[in-house]
Amino acid sequence: VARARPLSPPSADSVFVVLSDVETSEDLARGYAGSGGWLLSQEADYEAGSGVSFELVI
Amino acid sequence: MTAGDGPARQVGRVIRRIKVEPMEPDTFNPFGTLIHAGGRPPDFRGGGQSVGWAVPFESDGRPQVTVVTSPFQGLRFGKLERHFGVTQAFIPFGGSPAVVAVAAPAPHPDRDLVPRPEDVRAFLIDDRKGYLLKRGTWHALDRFPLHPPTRCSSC
Repeated sequence: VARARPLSPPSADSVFVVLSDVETSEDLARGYAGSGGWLLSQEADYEAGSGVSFELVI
Repeated sequence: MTAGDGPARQVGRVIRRIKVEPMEPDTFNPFGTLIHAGGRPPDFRGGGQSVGWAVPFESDGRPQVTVVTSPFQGLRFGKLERHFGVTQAFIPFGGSPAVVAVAAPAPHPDRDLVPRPEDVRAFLIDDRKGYLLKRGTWHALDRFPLHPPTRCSSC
């Protein structure tokens, strides 16, 4: 009896189709690159600001 | 609010544990809506047999569709972000099951207001449903795959 064998390991990445807009993506990319941005988005850095981090519990 | 076991302390920092919840329409409602077929009469009937359900996507700019991969990186994070001009949608496209962390949008886009750590919640993403975030919904920068890479001895 032939046994089914996986052809490749399961992906550890998660893949999503994201629907957003060009202006938000460009603004965000500029923000994280340190070249402006943050007009259409905002970041809250709990770790740097107050030493808080989050851990997901399954 | 569901906040797992509450904060645990290490030297100079606090780790807030968040219990992951199932992503259901009612529990996810403060943050956005689920994207799926059915549950109400269809919004679209064409000339064939197919029917469709509208998704309340809104954008102040030019719509953009992107395929995004998120690698396994563990289950900790320290940042949230939010967007003022778009209701971002995320539709599972394969790979590892993942979790999204969110916090409700403020009534007004006051940049001095950020969510309290205890108001951050986490949901297991149903691989048969997408989700649409409300404008201004805070969310972690990544989706978090649950499983690290595995080896395949028979590949």
